[in-house]
Formats: sequence, C-alpha cells, structure tokens
Amino acid sequence: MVVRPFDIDGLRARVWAGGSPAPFSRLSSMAISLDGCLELACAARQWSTGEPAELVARWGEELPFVRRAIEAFHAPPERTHELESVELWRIGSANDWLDETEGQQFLVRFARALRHRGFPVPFANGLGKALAEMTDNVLQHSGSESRKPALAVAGFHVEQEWMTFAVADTGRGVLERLLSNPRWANITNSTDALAAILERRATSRVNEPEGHGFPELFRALAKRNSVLRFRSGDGCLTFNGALSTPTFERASSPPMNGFQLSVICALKEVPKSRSADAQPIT
Amino acid sequence: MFVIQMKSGKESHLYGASIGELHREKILKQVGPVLEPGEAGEIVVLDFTGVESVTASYLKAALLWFVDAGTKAEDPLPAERLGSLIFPVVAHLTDEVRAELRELLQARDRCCIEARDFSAIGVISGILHGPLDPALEATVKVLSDYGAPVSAGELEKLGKDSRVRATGWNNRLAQLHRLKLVQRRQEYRQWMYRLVGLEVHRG
Repeated sequence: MVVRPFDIDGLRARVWAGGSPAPFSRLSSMAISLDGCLELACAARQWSTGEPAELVARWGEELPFVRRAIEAFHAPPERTHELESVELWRIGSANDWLDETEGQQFLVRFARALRHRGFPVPFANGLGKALAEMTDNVLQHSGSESRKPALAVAGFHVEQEWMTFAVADTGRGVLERLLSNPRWANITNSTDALAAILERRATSRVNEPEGHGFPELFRALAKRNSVLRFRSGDGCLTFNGALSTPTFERASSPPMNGFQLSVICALKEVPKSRSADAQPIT
Repeated sequence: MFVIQMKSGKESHLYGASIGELHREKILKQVGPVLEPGEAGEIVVLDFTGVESVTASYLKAALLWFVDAGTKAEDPLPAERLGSLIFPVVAHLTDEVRAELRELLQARDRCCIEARDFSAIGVISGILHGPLDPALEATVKVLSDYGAPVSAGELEKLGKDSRVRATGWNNRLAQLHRLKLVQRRQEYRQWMYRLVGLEVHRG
C-alpha cells in the first residue's frame, strides 16, 4: 500500500467549503498521524449537524482511530484508550493529576513508553514535563474558568526512537484567552496570538510577566529533530527544530474552536518535512 | 512553624500550575487559621521529600505565589492577605528540583531559602537561592552572624558597616521583609527583624 501524507488542513478546508466526499475514498491509504486524528475529532465535535456532520461520520468509518478519538471526547475522564504504544486520555480536572489518578498514570505510561523505545531517561523526563505542561494549559485556559476545562483530549504515540504527542481542546482558543490581558489587546488574529505566546512568552495572566508552559516544551526539545504544530482559530504555526535556523512558519487554517498542538520528535533521522515524518496510526 | 509535605500521595512528579494551585490552597487552609494580621507571620517549610521533579509552573503557583502575595495589589484579595503572612522555605530538594527552582528564581528575580536543618521550632540553617542585591546579601550575612532579632538602630550601633546609618539598615531590612527572607515584629516603637533561618549562607 502506498502511504501518502495526510493533509489535515486540506481535508478540513474541503469540508468547511462544503466540499466533495471524493477524497474520503482515499483516506485509508493515507498516513494519518495522531495530531490529525485529534484535530479531526475536534472538527467532529464542532460540526455535529448538517452536511459536515455526515462527512465527518465517514472519517470514523474509514479511519478507526479517528472514531476512537471522537469517542474519547465523550468518555468519562478516567477512561483511557490503549492501542499498544498509542494512548488517548480525556483531560478531566486538576484533581486527576493528584495521587494515582488517571492523569498521573497517563504521564507515567508515556515516560515508560519513551524509555522502553530508546529515549534516554533525561530526555524522556523532559518530554513528560512538556506533555504535562501542555495538558495543564488546557486545565488553566481552555474553559470559562480556570481548572474547569473545555472538552479536550491528550494522546501519545511512541515507536522505536520516534514519538509524537498531541493535545487538543474545543475551548475558547488562544486569541480570546490572550485578549483577557489588556497588555495584548492590540492582537487581532489567531496567528499573531499564537506567535505572541510562543515567541514572546505572552500570558493571559495580568499579574504575570511571562508564561512558563511553552518554554518548558521548547527546552525539552532544544536541538532535537522535532516538528511542532500549533493551531487555534484560523491560525497555525509550525516549528521545525531540525532546520539549521529553526523558525516559526505561519500558515492559515480552516477556522475551528479551541487550541490544538502536536509534537513529533525522532531521535536520529532528520525529518525532511512534517508530513513525511508523521507515522500513521492504523 | 509549619512543615507541609508536598508529596501527599504517590505522585513523585509535580507538574503544572493546577496542582500548584491545589497545593497552595491546601497550605492556606492548613496555616490560615493561625495567621493574625499585624503579627510576624508564620514560617512554612514546604518539604519536597519524595518529589523527584517539578516544573516551573508548579513552583510558581505553590511557592513563588507566597513570596509575591500581597505585594502587587493595593487591596489584596483575602487569600493574598493570608499568603502575605506566610514565609515559605523549601526543604529536601533533589538536584533536579533545586535546579528548576534556581532557574525560576533567576528568571523572576526572587530569592528563597532552602532549609538544611530544621526542627518544630524553626529553621536552624539554610542556604539562599536566587539573585540578591549585594547590599541586601551583605545584610543577610550580618543577620546570620548576629543570630537573634535585631532592629535597624541596633545594627547601626553594632557598626557592622560604618557607612550605613539606621535609616539605611531600615531600608535594607524592609526590602528583605518584602522578599520574605526576614520576619519582623513591632516592639515598642521599633521593628525587630530576624532571618527566616538562624544561619543562612549562599547556596
């Protein structure tokens, strides 16, 4: 089977425009990665009626893991979906991170999967911290109140010396959240909002000089072969750490609620492009 | 003095602001009832025994919040008023937790004392983490050498630094109090200051 890269934005754009279902006949021969599954699941949450809903339903038929991701949004917080080295977890409340709750166990299994598949312990620990921070961002910022998050799912997929994790919520999105801090009132679009939080450590907290979550992410992945994707509203930024001069690449994305991010990291091979590097979930 | 175990269950990794906020609320609930406005406040040892690693967001919410409490808003919220009376000290840090703490303190221009030896009564010895103005650092050393509550006037009389008068000492001590490195109590018409630890050295 020829595995072709999966274009998440392209597919959603076609549905957004009331597009043809033709591409769906080819879905099963495409390489859909974890971030794609979660973004499609977010779209399914948003497009729950009308023609888009019917199209979205077909994703589930063609791609079982997308169906599992959609189901994960409806699952109780303590429920996890495990498929060997792939796991999904519906983000619940802050209490899920205490003691031996599912949130803690999810992180423990992620770190263990990394260590068992060739990731050095310090790097595995750093990635564990980064995933925890990204998940905590959902708790802190996605809902109308802190620690009352919007519907959200986190997941990881770990193979030998290769891993990806993704966190996707259906909440307020980065722009709306950032505008609650008057310091960033001049920002007018989602791409600039993403750039502000990622490049300038902007935070929605009025009394805080800067945010700490994303620096944790970039510190964990410093000088690694990694590709990071951040999507919110109609904005999208990607960061290719493998380039000699890593920079953020701006792009537009079909509008969708919430904030979705993914990290792909390979220990050895230098990824040529993001989509070529994404490993499929079958 | 209170000693709070930060590892309450089996979690050995404390990540994210949300857990930090939960732990902060636990500390306020436990210590709050004994706090009296106008008093010197309480030293609270955050004991990290069994905690392998933390993130900056966690430390910011569970520790640094107490350092900053009540200093920003003119009319602080009730929780911040209570927090302003808590003098946090950390203990039993792993190298990884200590490195994370130092990095955060450097980035936020704050200080914190790590207790090396403490009892139910107080912190006997500790090390200072985080950047500090040289004059304030020298004052910490003076207080550590003196080892007892002292006023600005007494420091002038002691002649520890002939260039500094009582007003100068008073300014330095007030700044150290704002940084939560010293406690103060009013006796008659003067403030008496003492370090949060009896003996404090640079870490």
